[in-house]
Amino acid sequence: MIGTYDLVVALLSVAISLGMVGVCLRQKIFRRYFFINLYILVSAAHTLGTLYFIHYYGYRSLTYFYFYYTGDAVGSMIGYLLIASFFDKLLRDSVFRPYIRPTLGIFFIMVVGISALFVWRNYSTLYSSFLIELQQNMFFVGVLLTFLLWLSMNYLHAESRRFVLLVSGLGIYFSAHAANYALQFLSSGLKNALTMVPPLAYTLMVALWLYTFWRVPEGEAAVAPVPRPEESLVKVKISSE
Amino acid sequence: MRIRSFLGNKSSMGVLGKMRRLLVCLLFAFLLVCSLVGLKNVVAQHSGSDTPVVLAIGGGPPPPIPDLGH
Repeated sequence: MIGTYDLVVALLSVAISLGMVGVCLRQKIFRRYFFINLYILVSAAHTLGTLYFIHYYGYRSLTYFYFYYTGDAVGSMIGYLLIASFFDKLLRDSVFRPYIRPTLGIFFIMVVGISALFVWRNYSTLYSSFLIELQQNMFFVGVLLTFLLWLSMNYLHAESRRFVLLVSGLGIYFSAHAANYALQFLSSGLKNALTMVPPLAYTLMVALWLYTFWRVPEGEAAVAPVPRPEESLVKVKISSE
Repeated sequence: MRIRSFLGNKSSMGVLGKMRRLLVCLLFAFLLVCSLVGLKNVVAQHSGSDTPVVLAIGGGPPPPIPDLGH
């Protein structure tokens, strides 16, 4: 069985997810943000599935293990498509636009290939080993691509506040996981407490996305970036001349 | 400007243009894979164990990972 905390966080995440999809449907932007809605719906179904499998098969059962990681692999792939769609949106007017989709497609095939290559010797546990390896790789891919997305967003000065907040949600999710993973090795005594963080990080990400769709209008401009000292100095010099 | 001239534009999409585009995509993908493998190695060196990162896709609690011969 799972504890009250896990149950509350799981149900809260489902409620917020359904709320976000409801807001998108109400604003008629479901198709425009198709991948984010698909990701949220798949994740919510996965969460409800985990509660069902824990209830009927037990938390430590192999059935739950296979369900969780198979669903996780599907969710990770949709998450990958979501990040790719963000890249596509950000670099729409850039010279790199025709290269985004093929690059990310080839990269994905390479990641699956690498995952298969690492586990091909474990014949007896091939499927489960592959699932875990793929999950690990997709996690690092998510961290890497979100970081690159954030860098590009800052460099290209993203114009829409809504877009910035959506990317920030992904940033919260992956950075919380990375920090959690690092802390597990720094202080082993906190291990039990730290296992509570990943589902909470997911819920926070969904809550930020709900806020974004609910309260931030589509056309609202992002906050203008603060000019760097040398830039402002140049402006002062130009204006004084 | 130099990058723009190397990457070309839609009007210059002959067979050579497509080959060049594929080559650039392969190069980018290879760079990403190298970054991924490098990042994983750095983490593995500093962690000192084979414990995998448990990524919570939904709000449900991740199951314990059985010994799979890692």
